[in-house]
Amino acid sequence: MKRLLLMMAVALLLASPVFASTVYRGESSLYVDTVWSGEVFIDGILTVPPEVTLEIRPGTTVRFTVFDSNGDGIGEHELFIQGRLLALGTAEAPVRFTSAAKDPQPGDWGAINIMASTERENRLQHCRVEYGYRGFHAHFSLAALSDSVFTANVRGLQFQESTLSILRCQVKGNGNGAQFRNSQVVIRDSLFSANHWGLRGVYSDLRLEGSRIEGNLINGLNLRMSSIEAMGNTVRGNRRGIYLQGSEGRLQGNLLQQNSEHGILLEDSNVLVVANIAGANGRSGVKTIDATGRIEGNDLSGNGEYALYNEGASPADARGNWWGEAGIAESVFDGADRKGLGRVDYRDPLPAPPLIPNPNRSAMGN
Amino acid sequence: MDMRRLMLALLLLLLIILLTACGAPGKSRPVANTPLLAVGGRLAADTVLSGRVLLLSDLLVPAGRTLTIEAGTTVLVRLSESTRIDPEYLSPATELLVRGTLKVLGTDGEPVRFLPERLPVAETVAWAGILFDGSSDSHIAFAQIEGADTGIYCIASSVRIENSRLVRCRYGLIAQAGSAVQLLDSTVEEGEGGIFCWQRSHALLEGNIVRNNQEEGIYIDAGSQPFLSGNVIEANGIGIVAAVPRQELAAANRVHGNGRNYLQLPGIEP
Repeated sequence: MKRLLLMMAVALLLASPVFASTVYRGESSLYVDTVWSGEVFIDGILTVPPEVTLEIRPGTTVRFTVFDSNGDGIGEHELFIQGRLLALGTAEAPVRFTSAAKDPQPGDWGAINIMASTERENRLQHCRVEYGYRGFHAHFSLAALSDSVFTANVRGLQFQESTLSILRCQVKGNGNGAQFRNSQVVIRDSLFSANHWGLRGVYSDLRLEGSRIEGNLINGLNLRMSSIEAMGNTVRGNRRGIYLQGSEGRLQGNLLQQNSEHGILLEDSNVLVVANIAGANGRSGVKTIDATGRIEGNDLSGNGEYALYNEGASPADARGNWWGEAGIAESVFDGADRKGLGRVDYRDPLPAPPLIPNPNRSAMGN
Repeated sequence: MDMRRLMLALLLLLLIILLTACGAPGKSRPVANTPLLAVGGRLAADTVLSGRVLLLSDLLVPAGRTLTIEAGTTVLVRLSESTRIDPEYLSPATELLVRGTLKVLGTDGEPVRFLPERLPVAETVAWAGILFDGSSDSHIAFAQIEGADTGIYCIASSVRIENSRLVRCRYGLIAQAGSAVQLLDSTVEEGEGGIFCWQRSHALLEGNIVRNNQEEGIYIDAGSQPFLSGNVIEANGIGIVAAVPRQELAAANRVHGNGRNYLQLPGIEP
C-alpha cells in the first residue's frame, strides 16, 4: 500500500506543469537544434551558439526569472542568440516572452538578444514580448519581425548594425518604442504608440510605410544623420511628429496632425516634403532650421500658430502649398518677422486643399 | 638673536595664515575650493547632496527613492557625449530623471543652482534639464536652472516649484500628459519658449514673471486647464497662446509688451 501511494505521488508530481515545463538555469547553451513548446523557464542566460537553430512553436510561453545583481533596474536573464531564432507563433496561438514574476515590471529580464546572426534571417512572428529591458535587441544581425507585439518593456526594440523588417507589429506602452543605429530598416503597416520616444534612429536608412505613430510623449519619429522614405503614414498626437536632424529623404502622403508642437521639424536636413497633410498641430505644421529640399503640394492649414516656421538663416522653398483661407504672410514666420532668419518662398499657393489619400489604411489597431 | 628668530617665525606663521585664508590666486570665494562630488547612475538609496556637485552622467531617482539637495548647493552638469546616440532614459543629453521624489531646498540667501559645466560649441543648451516622469510630491524652492533643453519637464507628474529661476533654457517648463504643476513666484526668461501645458495638464501659475522668451511666453493647448493669476508676461515673441478666451487671462494677469500679446488657438470663439 505504501509503495502504491508513493508511486501515485511520483506520478502526480511528474504530471504537474512545473515538471512538464523546460527549465534552463545559470549560464547554459543549446548545442543542437532545439524545438520548444509549452512552458519554458529561463533562470539564467541561455545561449544559442552559432550553427544552432532554436525553433519555438505556436502557443509557447517563455518566462524569464527576475535577477538584478547590481540593483540597476536592468534584469540580467536573457536569451542570447548567436545561431538562429525562429519564434513562429500564430494569431490563435502566439509565442509569448514574458517575466516569471507574480507582479511583472518592465526590465524584469534582459532581452531576446541576437548577436552577429546574419547568415539566415531570424524570425519572430505572432509573438508577444513584454516586461523585458530590451524586448528585442540585435547587433550585426538579420531579422524579420511580423504580427508581433512589444509592450511594457523599457525599450521595445533596440538594434544596431542590423537589417530589420518590421511588418504589422505593435510597439506600444514601452519606455522607448524602437531605437536603432547604423541599420537598414523597413517598417510597414505597424503601430508605434504610447511610448516616450516612438522611433529614434541614428546613421540609418529607414523606409516607413502605412504605419501609425501616435501618442508618443516626446517625438513620434526622430532620425539623425539618416535617410528616410516615409509614405502613407499617420503621425498623430505626439509631442513632435517627425523630427529629422542632418538627414535626407522624402516625406510623402503622410497625415501629421494634433502633435503638440510641430508636425514636421527639419533641422539641417535635405528632405522633399510633398503631398502631406500637416494640420492641427499645436505650434506649426512644418518648422525648418537651415533645411534644404522642397516643401510642396502639402496642406499646411489649420495649425495653432504657423503653417511654416523658418528659424534658420537659410531660405525655405515652400512654393505650391495650400495655406488655408487666411493670409499666407500671417501663417509664415521668417525673416520678415525676425531679422537674421531666412525668408520663406511661398509663391504659387494652391487654390484649394490638395487631394491626398487617407493614409490610415493599416489593419493594425483599427 | 633669539628675538630675531622668534620674529621671523611669527612673520612666517602670519604669512601662512594669510595665504590659507585667501585661497588660490584669483579665487576669492571659499566655495570654489570645496571638494566636487561626482554623481550619476541610479540612486540606490535616499540621498542628500550639498556643496558642489558634478552631475557626471544621467542620474535616475527611481520610484520609491528621494533625492534631497540642500540650500546653497551648486550642481554643475557635464556635457556627456555618450548619451547623444543612445539615450538611456528620456533625453540624449545629460539628465536628472526623477521617477521618485526630488526635494530642492534652496533659500533666498542660499539658492540651489543647476549650471552647465560648459556650453557645447555653437549651441545654447548643454543638458536635458530636470525631468519628472510619473513623480509625485516633488518640491523645488529657490532654484536656478540654466542652459537646459527643458528647465523642468513634467510627464504625468505633480511638482511644486517656487521662488525659482529658469533661465536660458530652450523650454522653461513643460507640463505634459496630465501633469499637475504649481509654479509660484518664479521667473522664466531668455529661452526659446517659457511655459508649455500640453495633453490635459493642469498648471497653477501664480505670481510669476515670464519674459524675454524668443517665441511663446505661455502656451496652453485645448486639452489643458491651467489657472493663471498675478503673472507678468512681457517682452516675449507671443505673450500667451491658448484655447482659453483672452478675457479670462487679461483680468488676472499683466500681459504687455510682447511681439503679440495673445494668440487664440483655432476652433475657439474669441
